Amino acid sequence: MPPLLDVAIRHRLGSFTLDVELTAPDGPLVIIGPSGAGKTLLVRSLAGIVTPDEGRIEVNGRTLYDSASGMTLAPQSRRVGYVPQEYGLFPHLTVRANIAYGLRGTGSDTARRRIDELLELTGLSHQEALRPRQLSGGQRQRVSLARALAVQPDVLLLDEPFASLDVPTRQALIDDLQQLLSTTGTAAIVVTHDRNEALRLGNYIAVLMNGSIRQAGSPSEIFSSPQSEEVAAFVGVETILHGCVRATEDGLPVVEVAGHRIEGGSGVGTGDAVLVCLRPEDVTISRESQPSSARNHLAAVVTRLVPAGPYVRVEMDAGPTLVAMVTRHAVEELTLAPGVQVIASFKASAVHLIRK
Amino acid sequence: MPEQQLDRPEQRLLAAAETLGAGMAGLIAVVFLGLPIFAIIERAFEKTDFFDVISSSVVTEALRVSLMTTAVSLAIIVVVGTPLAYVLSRYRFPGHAVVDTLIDLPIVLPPAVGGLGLLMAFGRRGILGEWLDDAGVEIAFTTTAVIMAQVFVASPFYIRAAKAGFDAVDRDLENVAYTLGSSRSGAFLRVAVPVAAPSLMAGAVMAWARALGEFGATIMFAGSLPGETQTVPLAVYRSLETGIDVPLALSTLLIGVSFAVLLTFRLLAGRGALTL
Repeated sequence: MPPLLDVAIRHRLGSFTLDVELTAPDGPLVIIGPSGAGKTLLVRSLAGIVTPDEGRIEVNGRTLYDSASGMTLAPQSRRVGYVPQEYGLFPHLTVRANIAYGLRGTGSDTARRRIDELLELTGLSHQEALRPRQLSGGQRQRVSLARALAVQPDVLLLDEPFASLDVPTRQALIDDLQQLLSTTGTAAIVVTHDRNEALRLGNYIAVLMNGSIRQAGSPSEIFSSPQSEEVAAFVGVETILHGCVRATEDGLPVVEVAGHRIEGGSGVGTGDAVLVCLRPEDVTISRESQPSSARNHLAAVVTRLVPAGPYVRVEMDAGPTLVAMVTRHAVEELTLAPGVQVIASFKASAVHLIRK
Repeated sequence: MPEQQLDRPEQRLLAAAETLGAGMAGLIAVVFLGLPIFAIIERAFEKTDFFDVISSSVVTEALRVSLMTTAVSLAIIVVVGTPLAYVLSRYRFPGHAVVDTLIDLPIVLPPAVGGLGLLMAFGRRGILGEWLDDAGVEIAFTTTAVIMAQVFVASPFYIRAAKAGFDAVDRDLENVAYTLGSSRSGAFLRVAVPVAAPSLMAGAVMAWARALGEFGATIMFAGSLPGETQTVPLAVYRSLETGIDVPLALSTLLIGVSFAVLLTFRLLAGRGALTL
């Protein structure tokens, strides 16, 4: 299988330079970065709306752009679905006509069936005769998605798909999008500034800052072990563990993580696969088990100590890797060193669960 | 509060003065703009033979020439001006500012200067006119010249409005259309034009009204031949020589047609029929 995206491009725009090198094995690929990092410019380069100064773009092994051989595919022949930030719906057309835009011979039975199918898939069957201005933000997003999916693109490009939605709708729509992508089997490249969205949607995450990719990898690689201070500051250091919700006791989910039992978090149901997120400053370390209000205690072995200003980052092996941020003083008092057996504790309220 | 009490009579006085001032300004404007219009209509109908006058050949011929030429002019302006406005809105090229300024120039130039320019370019002794004359093509003082004069003075009004309309269309709409397989001209026709339609309509109405009232450039370049180049404004001027009846009748017709068109447009726009 060729990688979903293989890109190496340079593009100067005034004083800003986009210089991106990235190979993403599979999707959904989430490109995360602060505003002004060049995310939209990158998406537009992939869609063929902007032609970079030099480089190469391959999607699923198909070359879309290669400056060395002077090859540039027009957006019309790239087979990419583009969903811009404000969804770019055609205001003069109905929902149905918007979705039909890219289909040839819209009068034919096959085209009609395809549109009906997409309307149903996106839950817009009752809105087919409405115009974009009569729709809610979430409905607009779904029309834009259906319109892009209608032409069966190789990859969907989504530019900040949730930025213009209010927070409550956002949560539900992330689930919907995830489901839509898996039902249709469409590969997606999603651009966002929101780490929660990145964690929920991404199988592979690339951090774009100031025009270049600073780090790329699985969600746990990015969020558990950021390779630079810049990335760490942006994503927020987290311990991320893969787990499965086994039960709910007193309204508190009980998650199994590599044989450990972790209590805490909310908003998930029994049987859900989840990511358990912990901030290192919420994890405390002791040498032996002692009574405490914290609900979670995991036996671990210290593997590495990394000084970080007045603090020390303590990496521990508890089956999965755990990270705690403690003071230097605490390291001395507990005589922490690689190989030392410890108990890592954290409160149920410090646990943040993300459904995968 | 004492301060407020002190203020009150003054504020009331000020408010009264403001109302009075605004009312006076409004009254002056209504009288100044409305009275000449009213005077023409009143005088035109004072003559009992108004309907005889408007069925005279001078009037019907002038009306026919005016409606025919302005219709053709408007068609030319829309067909050529729409893509031009789109290109000016979407693309930057060397000389963009020069083209943009050149398009605005007829708005500020006296129409007579435009007419003179057309004569120097397409007249029998004109730059292109000499060649055309050799080829047996004559433009000056024909109906074609009337249309050219109208296009020259009226097209800027349409192109301005159309460009502003296209400027307001989100470029991402066309970008999406491209990824869905539309060519540039496809996205222009299927997306940009319909979305900018209200501005295009407004520009077309303004350009048509300007063409209908065109006088200076037409008389310089096309003359005033009844039935051929004599439009309503030219007929108003020319028929003054023989009396006031025909000019009054023609002016009344012109006022009626212009008012009806502008009002219809305004009502449609107000109802949202022209907006998206």
